[in-house]
Amino acid sequence: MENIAELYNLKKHFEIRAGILKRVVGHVKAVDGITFNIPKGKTLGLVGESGCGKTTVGRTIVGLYKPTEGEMFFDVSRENIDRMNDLQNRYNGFSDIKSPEAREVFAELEALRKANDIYRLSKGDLLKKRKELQMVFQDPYGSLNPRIPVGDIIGEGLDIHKLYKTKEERKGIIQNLMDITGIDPAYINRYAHEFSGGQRQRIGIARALSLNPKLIVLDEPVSALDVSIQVQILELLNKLKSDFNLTYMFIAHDLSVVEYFADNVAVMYLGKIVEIADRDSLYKDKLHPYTQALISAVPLPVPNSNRKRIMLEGDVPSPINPPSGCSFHPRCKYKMDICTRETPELKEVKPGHKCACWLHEKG
Amino acid sequence: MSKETKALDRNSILEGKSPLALSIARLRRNKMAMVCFWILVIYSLTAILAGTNIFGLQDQALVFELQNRYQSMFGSLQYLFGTDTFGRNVLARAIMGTRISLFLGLTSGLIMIPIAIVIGAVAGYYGHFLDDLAVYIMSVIVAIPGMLIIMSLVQVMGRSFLIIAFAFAITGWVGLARVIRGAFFQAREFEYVLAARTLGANDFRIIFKHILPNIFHFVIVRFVLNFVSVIKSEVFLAYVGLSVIGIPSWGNMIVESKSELMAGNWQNMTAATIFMFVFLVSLNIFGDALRDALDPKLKNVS
Amino acid sequence: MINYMIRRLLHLVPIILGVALIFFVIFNVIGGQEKFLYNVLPKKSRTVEQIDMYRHKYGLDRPMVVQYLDLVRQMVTFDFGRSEVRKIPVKTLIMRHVPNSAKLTFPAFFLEISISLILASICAYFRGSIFDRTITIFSVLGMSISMLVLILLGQQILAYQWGLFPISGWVKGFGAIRYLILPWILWVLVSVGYDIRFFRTALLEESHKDYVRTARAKGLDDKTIMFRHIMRNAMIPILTYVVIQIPFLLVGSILLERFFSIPGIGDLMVNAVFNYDLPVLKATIMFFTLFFVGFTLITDMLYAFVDPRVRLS
Ligand SMILES: Nc1ncnc2c1ncn2[C@@H]1O[C@H](COP(=O)(O)OP(=O)(O)OP(=O)(O)O)[C@@H](O)[C@H]1O
Ligand code: SF4
Ligand SMILES: [Mg+2]
Repeated sequence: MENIAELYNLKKHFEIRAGILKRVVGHVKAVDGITFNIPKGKTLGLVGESGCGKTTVGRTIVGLYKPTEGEMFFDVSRENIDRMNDLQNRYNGFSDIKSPEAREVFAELEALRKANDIYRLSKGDLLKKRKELQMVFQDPYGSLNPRIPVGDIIGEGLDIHKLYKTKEERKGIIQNLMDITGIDPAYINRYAHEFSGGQRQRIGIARALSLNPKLIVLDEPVSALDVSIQVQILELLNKLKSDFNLTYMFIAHDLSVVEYFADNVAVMYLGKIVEIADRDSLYKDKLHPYTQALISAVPLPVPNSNRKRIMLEGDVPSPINPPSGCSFHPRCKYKMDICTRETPELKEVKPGHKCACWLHEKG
Repeated sequence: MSKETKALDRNSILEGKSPLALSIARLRRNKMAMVCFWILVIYSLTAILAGTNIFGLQDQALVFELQNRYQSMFGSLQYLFGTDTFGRNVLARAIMGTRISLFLGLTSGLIMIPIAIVIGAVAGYYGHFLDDLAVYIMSVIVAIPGMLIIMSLVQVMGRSFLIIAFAFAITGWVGLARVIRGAFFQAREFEYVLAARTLGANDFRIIFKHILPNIFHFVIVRFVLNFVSVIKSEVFLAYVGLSVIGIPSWGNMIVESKSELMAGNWQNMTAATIFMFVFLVSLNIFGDALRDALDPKLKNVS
Repeated sequence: MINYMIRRLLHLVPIILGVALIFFVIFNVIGGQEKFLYNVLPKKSRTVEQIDMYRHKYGLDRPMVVQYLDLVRQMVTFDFGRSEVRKIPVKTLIMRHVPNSAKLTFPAFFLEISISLILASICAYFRGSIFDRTITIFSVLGMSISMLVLILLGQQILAYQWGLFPISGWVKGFGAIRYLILPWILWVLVSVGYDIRFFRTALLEESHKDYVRTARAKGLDDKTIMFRHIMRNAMIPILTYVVIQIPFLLVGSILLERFFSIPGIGDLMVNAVFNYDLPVLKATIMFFTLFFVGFTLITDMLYAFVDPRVRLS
């Protein structure tokens, strides 16, 4: 299976500064070393409790945040990926990493990585790549500039990348986008405040679509909407996916929506991925105790909003000082001695099903 | 679906109206504010007229006619406020004072606003070192009583119109810059700003197209209310003898009236007070209405 | 906590350096020294030699940097020598004037805040009533009047024509109250407008919040909601508003002090600007800055004491 994006050991730590000299006094480890692939043409669901770092992962993928560490290879050809893996294996095989041969291999590997790691691209190259990486935001009210007509909101990407020759051409593209996403093209000069939540989300989708992206990060695109409208938007997204050969990364906290919408599911806890598998496998055998808790937990309606929140027992620990070993251990009912001491790694437990838990770490 | 169409139907009368157009519509429905607005327009026209010697205005305001001293008020339209110690037409002087006050407010506003926007925006948007520097400069200026800086500057640099306006601007920008800084700081993380960045927008585009237009109402309201503080401060400067020299200003008139009052000559006092009071009341009411009308948080159209 | 206090105290250093710089630029770089020399010089002997001699005496012939550092030293040690105009040590002068300003402004401020708080609460409680609307209109009118006009009218009519108050004057001790009543009234008149509006808005904003609606839904009566919930929560912005004005009270009211012959520090300051009495000016600015920064320091510490999260940020 081909991947549109491969992420290696991605970390995003936000600095906490304090004092007169604004010294760094700590870090919010919002994303703390995650490695996974996003298969081409599929939808990868990313689930987890509030504050576990889902949005941060999404924003780092589209380049809004510069990662503290890690690499992302986006839309890199099969040969290059294979070549890199090959070089890496050869390099790991050297007994003397200072030998000229090893250095040569390493130099080639570095050169390849540098040319392909999206976070190390030059400004101009990055701008080009960025077109292919778009995002739909969570808040239908906050994600549209209230002072710009929706036509110009949708067309902003076209303006930035100069993707048209004449004014008419621009208008044509915009109206086409509106049509595709189910907004009446006659509303091109209206402002965001005249639309309902569902329509605004459609405008956000049209904006993301305007640059012909290959990967779209959907950050809880429907969680602020009424259930009936949620279904419409999800159907629209599915249709667009097949029409335009898109790949989605779908962030959600509502597991039933993910079950309906995603092909593969990654479960996140405190900045780390604890389980990742294709949907059927994951919902059939929930391997990680956190996944089990998450799926069995009752979604509670949050007062004064139409959102539902998953409630597990106990509080989510602070991402500033995550617990030692397996960070889920304070809340885990299968906790063992080793769990508090050593961090379990994300390992393939069954074909295509990875999990990070000592329970499944059988020698 | 019904919910989505309803949202459009409700607004169908207002279709395609920008938030700015809605704000103006809201403002125009406020009768009191519109009355004040037209009063302010009249003042502005008066100020412009006072720059010319129309109706011999400047001559009457400046030339001594000692045989004509202390004419009483409300005798004729031309001498509505009588004459002063030197026989000058007090109405003409008040009109000339309008010019000084308005232009002081305008000039200091035009100096202060770019400073406040640049410093506030840079500090709030880029943060880190630039922000620390801006915050430092602001806390230093705040730590000295504003009037003292103004007095010292004018005393040392001279009592010219521009210097006075400059002195007002030097102390006045801090408040606005703080507001702008805070707004930029928040706006950096607004989803529509992030969306623009995802599309590839550069800082320039984000600052000028996405953030500034959404916080510009702070600037406009501050610009209007700046007149209030400038006019009040001018009176104070006049009292300590540091207002413009040789030209009648409202402050100068009030100060002159101090010695005339004991003898029962109320001309200068009455004229300047009425001119100033009406102007300030209108500014305050209009400024408030403007703030309410422009505030994007008020979603209710009706 | 001690760590926090030390950090905050260190904050003072750059502020003092900055204040000194502004002041230095105005009076030593832009101008003012020549006029200062002119003022201190004995009337008869304004010869070139004399001027040079005095220039040397006051160190104005040294390099700018040295002069600036000297100013900083003076500010830190609070030793400004003698007022060349009044021929008194500056420190004595300041110490003599500050209490008089305080006598004028602190009671006035207390009156102002109490009156506006009461009126604003009534307005917020009976919002939309005739009382509310009248007070709102009067607030706007009050905000639009110049203090100088009010003083002139008050002194001319209330004191001079009607003889209700002494026109001006000053005595030591409690007897001064006699001379302070009219200034207090005028102070309150010019400032309540702003306060009432601020307080009223703060109270109304609070009453629009969700928890008020919840409380109402629970069946609590208006009075309980107003006094138990709204007032208590609105106190935070109100207190902040009040607290940030306190340091400025020490500067007194320049206008009131001059018109009513109250020998306060505002009066001292204006005279110093006029006479280019640089030692006094430096001292007053320094005094005020220290007080201002020290006061914010104390309030910040109180906040930090109440809310430990502040210490981090
Ligand atoms: N710009 C930032 N600066 C500092 N900390 C941040 C920043 N953005 C996020 N965080 C912190 O990083 C952690 C992860 O936040 P994130 O928004 O990614 O979580 P999330 O899983 O998307 O949660 P939610 O379901 O609430 O959207 C949180 O503790 C948050 O407070
Ligand atoms: S590693 Fe241990 S603590 Fe962590 S989830 Fe597995 S069993 Fe629970
Ligand atoms: Mg999120």
